[in-house]
Amino acid sequence: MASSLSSHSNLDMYSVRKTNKFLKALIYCGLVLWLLIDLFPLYYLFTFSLKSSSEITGTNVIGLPKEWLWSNYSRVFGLGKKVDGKRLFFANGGIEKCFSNSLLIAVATIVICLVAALMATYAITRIVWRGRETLNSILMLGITIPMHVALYPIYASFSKMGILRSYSSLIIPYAAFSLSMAVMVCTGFMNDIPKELDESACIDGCGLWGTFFHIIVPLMKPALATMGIYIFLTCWNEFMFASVFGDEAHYTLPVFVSNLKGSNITDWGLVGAGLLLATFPMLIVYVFMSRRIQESFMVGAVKG
Amino acid sequence: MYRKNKGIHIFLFLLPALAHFIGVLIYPIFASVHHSLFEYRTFTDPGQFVGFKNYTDLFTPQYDFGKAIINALILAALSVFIQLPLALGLALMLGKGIKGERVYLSVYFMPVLISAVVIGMLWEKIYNPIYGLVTKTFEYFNWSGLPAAGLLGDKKTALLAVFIPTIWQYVGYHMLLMYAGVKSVSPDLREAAMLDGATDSQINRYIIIPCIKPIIKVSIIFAITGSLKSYDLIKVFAKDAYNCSYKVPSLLLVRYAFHNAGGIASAIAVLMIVMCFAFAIIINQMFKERD
Repeated sequence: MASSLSSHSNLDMYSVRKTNKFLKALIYCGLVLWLLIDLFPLYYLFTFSLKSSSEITGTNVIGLPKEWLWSNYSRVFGLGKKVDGKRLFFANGGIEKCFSNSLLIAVATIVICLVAALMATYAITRIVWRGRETLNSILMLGITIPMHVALYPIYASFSKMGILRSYSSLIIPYAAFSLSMAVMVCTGFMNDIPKELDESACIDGCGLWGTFFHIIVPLMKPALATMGIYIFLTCWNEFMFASVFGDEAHYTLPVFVSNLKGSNITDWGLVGAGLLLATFPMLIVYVFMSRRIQESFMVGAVKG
Repeated sequence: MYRKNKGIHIFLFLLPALAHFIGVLIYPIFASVHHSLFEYRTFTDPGQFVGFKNYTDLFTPQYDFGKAIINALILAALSVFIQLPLALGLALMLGKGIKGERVYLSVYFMPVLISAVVIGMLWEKIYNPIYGLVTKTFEYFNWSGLPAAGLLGDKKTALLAVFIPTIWQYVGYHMLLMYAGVKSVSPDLREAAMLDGATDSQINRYIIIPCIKPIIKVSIIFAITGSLKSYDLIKVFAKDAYNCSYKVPSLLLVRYAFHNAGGIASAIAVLMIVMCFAFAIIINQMFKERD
């Protein structure tokens, strides 16, 4: 056993052994308690999404459902669709449409933001010119500017330009507000690439663009993956712009979920099923990629 | 070889980023400052110059912005003094190297990935004054003292009721940042302290926490600016932005922006930018002086 342990984990074992038993028990209690606090609301959501209204409201508040009503889930797929010319509950394209809208917007945002950030970072860190540091610090201010303040001016200019209620009316602001963070992370990664690579490429006859595409971009793949995950998650959950700028055809998942609110207050099973269906894909992805997702959230804060 | 046209190439490399940055971040700031000095009766109204009237009007009972700022500051204080110590505690406990570390870490972080809208809807059910989990628990144990309108409906407890889901969601995020910091503290330092006979709490107090100060600073800035701009969860909870006892600046911003008060909304936007930058600078300075 000892052979596979690094000096670090050896030390950890040592420190745990040294801690007295009472304290150790206390630590485990604290950790498990918070674990339960984290999981319990989700358990509650899961169980009431499978119950009938009468169970939720009285006979069986926190137990497992007596009768597992999977039909709550199938009913979610009927929401927002026309049945006999009438919409069910709310005007909306249905959960699949919102899901694909969310996906399309997030992917387009990632592509635009990363291309812009990579090119800008290259110009700032690899080409020598006066003012590049000033520009970098101006770009960094963007991390502190809250997205909300842009809502009204952008709404006004987009409506003048006639691109309100389209995918691009969401993609452009999302890309712009992820840009500062992306430049910051890309700068960190690009500084780790040795400058000698650029120089030898230059000697071999590569221009700026050649060096960028053939040397820098391939080496920046880890940074792109990390930032891509981060941007994806911020777009996926964004609510303010999505609810104000979108229309029926362009609603995203969070807007779908918020529309459930007005639909039918007593039908908790349906609402719960809708909430879970909207959350589930992300949690599945998290189970398989937890380490990468956590890293993508760390890198922004730690490098800043 | 490319020296001649270097300027053009630099410009081309910067173009996509600058176009987005100027169009979506810089222009709205100037536009907000401009709009905030005008009064708009309708959305297409060219507006009438009123100077700083919008800013002074904001604090009259008609717009009641003072209350929103106080709420946001209370949320920020709760985040810094309750949420962050909790996150730090979890990070220190996990960072010691405990069996199942990854599992705890992954579960703690999970709520961060759930949309705040979903969390709002879920907690609204939990707080429901008739059928909610809180009410049912009070009934089951025969406790009294729960407000008739539910935790969220009662003016005294509403802000706390808003804060609990926020804590639930974001403790994991701050914990993750601090955990990364704790793990990056050199094991040699720990070992040296242990050989000198330091206890665990002394190691935490004198070695780990000073080492992760930069991360604590980032966490504090994120917690404060996050509270100042909180929107999603509160939007889901609030039935009406104006008569809501837990209203916050961004909730009022959206309401006024689309209720023919673009000037007022822009004034709120300007004040929000100023506050975010002011807090970021103040926190940075506080940490600088201590070092």
